Amino acid sequence: MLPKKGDSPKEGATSEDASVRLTFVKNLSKTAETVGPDRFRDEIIPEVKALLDDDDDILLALADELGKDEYETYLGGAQHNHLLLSILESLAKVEETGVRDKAVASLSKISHRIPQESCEQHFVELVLRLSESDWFSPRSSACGLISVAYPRASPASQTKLLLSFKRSCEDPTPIVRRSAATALKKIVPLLDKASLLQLVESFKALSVDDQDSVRLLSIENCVAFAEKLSEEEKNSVVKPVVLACGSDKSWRVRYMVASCFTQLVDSLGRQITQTDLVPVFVKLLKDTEAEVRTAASSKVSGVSKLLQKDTVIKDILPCARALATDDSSAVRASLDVMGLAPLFGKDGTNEHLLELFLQLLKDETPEVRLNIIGKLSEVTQVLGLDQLSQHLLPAIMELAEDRQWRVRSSILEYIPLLADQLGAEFFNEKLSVLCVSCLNDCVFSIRESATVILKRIAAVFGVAWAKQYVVPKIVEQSKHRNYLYRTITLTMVSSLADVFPSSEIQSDLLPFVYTLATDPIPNIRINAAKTLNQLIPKLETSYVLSDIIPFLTDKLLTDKDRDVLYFANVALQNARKKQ
Amino acid sequence: HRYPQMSNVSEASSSSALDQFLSESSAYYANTPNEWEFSQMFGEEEDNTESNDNDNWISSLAFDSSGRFLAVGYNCGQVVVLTQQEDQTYQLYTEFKSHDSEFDFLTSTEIEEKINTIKWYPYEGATRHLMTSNDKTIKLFRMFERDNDAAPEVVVKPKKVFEGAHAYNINSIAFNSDGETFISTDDLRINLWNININKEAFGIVDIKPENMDELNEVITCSDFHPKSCNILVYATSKGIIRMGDLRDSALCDHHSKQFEDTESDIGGFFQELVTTISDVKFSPNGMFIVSRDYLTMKIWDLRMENRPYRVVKFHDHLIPKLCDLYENDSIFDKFECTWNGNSTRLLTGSYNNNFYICDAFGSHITQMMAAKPTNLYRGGNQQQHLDATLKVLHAAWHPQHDIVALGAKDFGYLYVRKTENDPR
Repeated sequence: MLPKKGDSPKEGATSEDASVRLTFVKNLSKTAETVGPDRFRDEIIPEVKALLDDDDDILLALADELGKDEYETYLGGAQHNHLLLSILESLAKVEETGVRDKAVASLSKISHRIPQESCEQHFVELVLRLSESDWFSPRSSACGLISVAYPRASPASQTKLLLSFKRSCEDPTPIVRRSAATALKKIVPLLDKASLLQLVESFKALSVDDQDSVRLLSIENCVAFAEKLSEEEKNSVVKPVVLACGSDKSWRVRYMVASCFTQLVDSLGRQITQTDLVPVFVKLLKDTEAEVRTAASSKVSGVSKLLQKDTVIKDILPCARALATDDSSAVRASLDVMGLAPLFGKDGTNEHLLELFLQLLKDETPEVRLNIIGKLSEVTQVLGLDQLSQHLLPAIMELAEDRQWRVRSSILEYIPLLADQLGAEFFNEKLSVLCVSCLNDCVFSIRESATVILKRIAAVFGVAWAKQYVVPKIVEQSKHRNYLYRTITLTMVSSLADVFPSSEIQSDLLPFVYTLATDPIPNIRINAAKTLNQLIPKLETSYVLSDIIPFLTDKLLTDKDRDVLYFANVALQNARKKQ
Repeated sequence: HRYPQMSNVSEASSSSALDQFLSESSAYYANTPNEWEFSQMFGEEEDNTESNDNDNWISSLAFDSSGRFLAVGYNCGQVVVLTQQEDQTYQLYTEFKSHDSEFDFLTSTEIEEKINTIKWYPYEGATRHLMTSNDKTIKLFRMFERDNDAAPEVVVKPKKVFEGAHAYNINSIAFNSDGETFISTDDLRINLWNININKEAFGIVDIKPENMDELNEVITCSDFHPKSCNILVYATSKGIIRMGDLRDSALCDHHSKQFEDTESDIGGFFQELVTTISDVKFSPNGMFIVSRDYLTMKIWDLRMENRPYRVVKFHDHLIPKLCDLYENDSIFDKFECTWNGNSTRLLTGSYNNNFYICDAFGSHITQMMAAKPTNLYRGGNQQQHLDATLKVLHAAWHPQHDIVALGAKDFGYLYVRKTENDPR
């Protein structure tokens, strides 16, 4: 809904209708371009300020708009940026977290454009003001801005910023402490050693906070601190926190440890990992809460890659075996053991891992089996196919016939990958039947996927292969009794045309289109016309002139069905353009 | 007599928190006599018309965390907010329509606009937030003053609507101390929400049986611990209170504690009906729970599950009348109860517009009648005839001062504690 001609651009701001006010905000840039900088500052900005207690979605749009770079120009230059700052400062005080976060993001963006001389006065002071507010929401926003203001602030202000941040870590309101805990990891990389050590106490305090939602944010801060501390400091400062969180009473905190485990290992280093972190990981793999086990099991390969092989065999593998028979299907489905194969090499994989893979491949839950099949590449590189294929095939077949169509769809997605690794001969013998049967699946989505899959396989194996093995299938398909399944032939043709050269399209694929263009069912003829239209850009011009245009004019333009005529005409226009 | 007996606190060396609290309570009772007087009444007084229309009946009451605001919800879906003046009285601040009645197409029933619960957001900001709920839908409103040219205008705007998550009727909502999440409870389920996300809720308790024919227990009320973000309680129609710990697992179906008073036994046909719990509240200091059933209030120490710490009896006079109360359905009335700000006293309503303020850890009980003082007013002694149509179902206590709010049909009453006799 654009402002009508003659409307004052600012009228939208005072409308009773919220959607009009929202449009006003979203069109602010157009308004600015229309009225020019002076009027924008004098007339429009006050209107914007009046919106500051409006609904959340309007405030969100406003916070987003004002962060855009163009507004500096709209206002008439960098010297007016402070007008934006004061509006965004108000938005950063709002209770709604989404609006506050957006305001903080926009403020961060603008801060880079403020020249160094005025940064202290305009930006750093703004952040300090927010942090000293009586209300919790501005104090919360201030935490997110400290990492932006700190690098640009004078040494005196830097001290003040750090002090206010420390206060936020002890704020009586959990909301502010959460913001502080979230912001800590962004501040840590900016500090020198002396300042960093000042924040250690705050870091520790947050990690033992009463509120679960504050404690669980400590893990990412552990990573940030560890990256900047010496080995000794890691041991004394970070390690105790990680160990405490790993056995926290709240499953959510333990979950965070599990999901960040690879980062923890990376940042804390081999020594600490080997002695202290491995037991923590093992415990998480055996956690009482399924959600925690799920997170940990997805990290098995990632973590094991950073450990010594003996440790993996002794400590991790027994847990993995237990997880493969976990009660919860979510846990089994997230178990990532495939990545261990490169670590073990061929003999090791055969000895330790093969049995595990096969067990998971036979799991009763489809998602578990799909998970294994999706990660096969890591294993086949090590083991080679012959061993796997005898086990793989039954699993694939079963999934392809699963009652749930989404499972069938998922396995179909993996076929090109398998084809690539298994080779044409294997595919022909074993998998082609599967693909073709999917062309006749009762669910349209599967039929459509099958055409895409066959194209991708044709791209891998080549046109000659496709002509020999796929085209005959298309012949059969085009003669199907049910019109729905005949239609898919045309989708197949379009799809293959992407990988066939023009001459082959003309010789091998187009005949189907011609045949189906005379099908008794109008729907099929329509699709035939559409297909012709799609194919025209891929055909040789001479052919288009000699064959396509006459065909269209003779056969389709004499059709009785209106829609067929329409699409035939569209194709004809397109064809004529080629002349 | 007015002053409670001082408890024997000779074991001054005992350092347990409970002992210290109990001795402080005793001192408190001695220094603050449990005597109350009428302060205000609000509601439209219709002269002589016996109004059968219960649209204007109060259905919920709530003070905010500062006590400066009192929200009153009505059967007609209206919410009135009163604000505390310098002289401690309350004046109208604003009012708004919270819920409209809706038609549930699935069950072909009307969803009433009656406001079942009101809770204020626990943390004070420049804008105040309050949450209201009817049977199916929860709404979060923000309330703020807008500076207009003339006078500051009070604006209340809906901020978020949380709907579609309850198949059964919502009976409670409670904010978590983390300032981010809250629970909503219906007859069979409790959902955990994030206040910023209304498209998703987590079901954390579900007592629905596989076979609905086996249903014999429903959830009647619930509450979050005031300080611990992980503790919640819910009470049932069987008089059982279960405590859930959100830290233990993602689902709280397995309660971590179960509080049940197996001794209370009046026996007979009415046993089950009178043990159903109508309200459950954590004490502000987080050490106790109070549960209100038809005849008593029971105080539970969180560490002791097998019996209540104290049972406060004030409804024994109803026991001989249970038959009548059952006949006129009054036995199903759900009375609210509430603690005072320092966890020492309890307030609950009763019939004949009576209400009781009890020393939770002492023996004194004050009984008053909620009524506008007129020349004919005779004071709060037990009435001869039990009038069950006059009931104070809703009660709230100012978190910092001794001011209580009571809701009885169309009228709300504010009573304050008399301070003239306080010992120096």
